[in-house]
Amino acid sequence: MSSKMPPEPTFLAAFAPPANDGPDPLRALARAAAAGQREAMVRLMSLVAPPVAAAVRALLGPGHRELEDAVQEALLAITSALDRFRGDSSFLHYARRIAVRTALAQRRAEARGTRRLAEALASEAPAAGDASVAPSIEREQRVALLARLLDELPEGQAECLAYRVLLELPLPQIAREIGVPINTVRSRVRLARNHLRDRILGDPALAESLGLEE
Amino acid sequence: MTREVALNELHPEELLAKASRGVLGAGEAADLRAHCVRCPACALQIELRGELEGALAPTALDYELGARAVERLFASGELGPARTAQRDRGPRRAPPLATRVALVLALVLGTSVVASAFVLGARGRLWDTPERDSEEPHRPAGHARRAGHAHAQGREVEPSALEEAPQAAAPPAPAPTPAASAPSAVAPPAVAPLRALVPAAATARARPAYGTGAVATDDAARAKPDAAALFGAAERAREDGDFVEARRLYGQLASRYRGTREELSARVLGGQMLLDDLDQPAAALSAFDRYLRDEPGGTLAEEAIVGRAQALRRLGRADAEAAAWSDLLARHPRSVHAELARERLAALVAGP
Repeated sequence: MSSKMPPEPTFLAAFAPPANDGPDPLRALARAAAAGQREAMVRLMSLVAPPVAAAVRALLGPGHRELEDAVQEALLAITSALDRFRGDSSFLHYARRIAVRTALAQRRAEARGTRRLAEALASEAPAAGDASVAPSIEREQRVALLARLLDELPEGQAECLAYRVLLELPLPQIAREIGVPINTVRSRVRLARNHLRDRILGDPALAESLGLEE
Repeated sequence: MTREVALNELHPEELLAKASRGVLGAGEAADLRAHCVRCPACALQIELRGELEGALAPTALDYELGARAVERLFASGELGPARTAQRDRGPRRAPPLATRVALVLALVLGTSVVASAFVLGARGRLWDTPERDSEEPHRPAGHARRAGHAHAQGREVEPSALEEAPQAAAPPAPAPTPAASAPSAVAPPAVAPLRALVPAAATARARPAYGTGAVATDDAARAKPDAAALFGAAERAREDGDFVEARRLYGQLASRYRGTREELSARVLGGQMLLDDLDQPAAALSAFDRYLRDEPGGTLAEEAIVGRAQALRRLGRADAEAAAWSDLLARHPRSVHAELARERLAALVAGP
């Protein structure tokens, strides 16, 4: 690794495997890929591609017209971030977090032209009490609704809440990840939660679609 | 949803974090529940927990998407670690032969690499947060609704793995024999009688070579076999002791043929495999629950209840285990497992 590496993102402390865990099986591969070994890069990307695709799909929706492009975009972002990976966590955790960030950016870029939440609810949410809706479909819809709610938030709040809720990162870790003081993260998450709370309380249909009715 | 929310009310991040880890105390759980009654935003996080494990776990679609994206990524031959902003988003081009070969090798070898994580003791869920890795076996009351939350075994994968993530995480090295991993000497030989109940048509049809679908870039793998063929292939893989492949095929079945007779049967058979062969009781419990949810009076309901009880026993959830055995006796009083149920109930009543 070069000494000119950008500041290391040490946000992954909480992702670090416990001492009694085995080594990250992808770490050596990641290092080899970062060093320019093409075969290692191919193998590494092949390994992380499915969970990366899953994260992108969850946030963009399985029917997104540019889903494959977005997955490729995420993989590109991961390759670009290879030299910043120092093994503080498993590489798969690292890759998936980058995928979430990439997908959120994609959503935000599209936000101006996207349908409003109410329209999305009307067209995609399952009918109340529709027992035929498969759980995985319901789950996808709920995650999609959450993603759309994230679209309504300022970027910093959306990012913090996504890491908090989707990846369940602790606040200090998020702070290290995005390079802001922890109190800023705390504030952003609180404001984001307040927004969600008010939106859901003000929209019984939304609450029902999210499975939060009583 | 109650609307009396103080505008300046703080959200209990610490309690939410503890809930994520499954380490809430009883009083804390009550506090969090009380908050969630007033705050749907925090309730949503609790609701989604567990679901997100499934939502973020790779499905068959993700494997296909990922493989295609990797193909495109390397198709131009320009990609290197230093590449950043330049993106080739033009029309798809077939990658060079060498790249295709490398990709195939990578995918095949990659499975081994991921599998090695488990052999090396990496706890089986490479893309889960460590908070989950350190979860305790028992989830406090009020948070046990989703069976997938509790991971009693360190190597456990997400409970919905059989359904949603055919290759999401390679399981640990198979146990030497089902009998060797059985939790109790009195445990019934679940697999043999279970198979006798499986729809004959599902097993009698032609079985493809079950190893042919592993590489997404292989044209043959893209051709979807029918449900019966997939089911037969999975069963054959399982019989051969290739539980990783069997699980992948069960996952494909769940993804592509949800609700078919074969897929429903596979929930129970797959659950038994997860329980007996892969030592993943939480995932097994989820599989049994899914079957009983959709087929409460189904042909395999009795076996699913027994499987539930055994999975709950492995998870250390004594109360739920007792309820499951009681359920079995109530619904199937003449079950061949009735004696076992009574023995377990007596033991559970007597306590440790």
